[in-house]
Amino acid sequence: MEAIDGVSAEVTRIFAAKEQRRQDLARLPFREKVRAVMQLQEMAATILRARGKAVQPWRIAGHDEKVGAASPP
Amino acid sequence: MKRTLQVLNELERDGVFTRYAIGGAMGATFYTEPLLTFDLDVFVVRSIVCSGAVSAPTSNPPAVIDRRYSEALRARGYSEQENECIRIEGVPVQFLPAYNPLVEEALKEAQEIMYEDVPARVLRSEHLVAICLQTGRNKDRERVRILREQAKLDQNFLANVLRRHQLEDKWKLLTE
Repeated sequence: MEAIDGVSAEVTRIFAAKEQRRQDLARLPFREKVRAVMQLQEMAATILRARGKAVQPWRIAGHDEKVGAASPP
Repeated sequence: MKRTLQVLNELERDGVFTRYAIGGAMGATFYTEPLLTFDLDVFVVRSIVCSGAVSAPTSNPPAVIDRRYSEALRARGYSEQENECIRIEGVPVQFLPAYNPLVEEALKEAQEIMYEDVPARVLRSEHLVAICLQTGRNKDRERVRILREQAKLDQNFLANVLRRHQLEDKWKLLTE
């Protein structure tokens, strides 16, 4: 994580932790990422509907099943 | 999504299209952090002959639900459409015919994955980068940035793809 001018060490550490979190998310199995996308859809849908945009989160039967083996290389 | 992929496999097996692979945001998500999307982009190589109809296999504009897909899906009980997608087992699927040589190559070289116990294909991360560069919308440039940061891109493979499809200048503009 590059140092950012005018940002305290604490905030720099928080930014680094956020970046690490994103890298960790990138390494999740694909099955778990699909679940995360569906959670994002639910969160975004609430906001988008309030703006008058109709969106429909995915409705997948059994998406809470056990996590599968497909992972990014 | 498992059932959605099973249906796509059935369509391929039945010759509705000869090959498919996941692209778009879900394709990128295979390599990166989860990215928000409301549809599943599925690139397809069309069958030359399907359901008695004859059509050109490529060079048609993308983002149009081919009548043959909708007929084949309707026969399987999937008829709910939204925008240009067909909802398959709860997931809106957008079929994108291979519309140029880059996408044709990407489909040909897509990687096989297993989603739980269901086989599927995802475009290679390097091809996703190239397609985003070629498309060039704001969200595509953002996706290139995320793929660069998080996917383990094969730089030699990517360089070859960019050279073959005249995308080196766009790559330089974005990365230098």
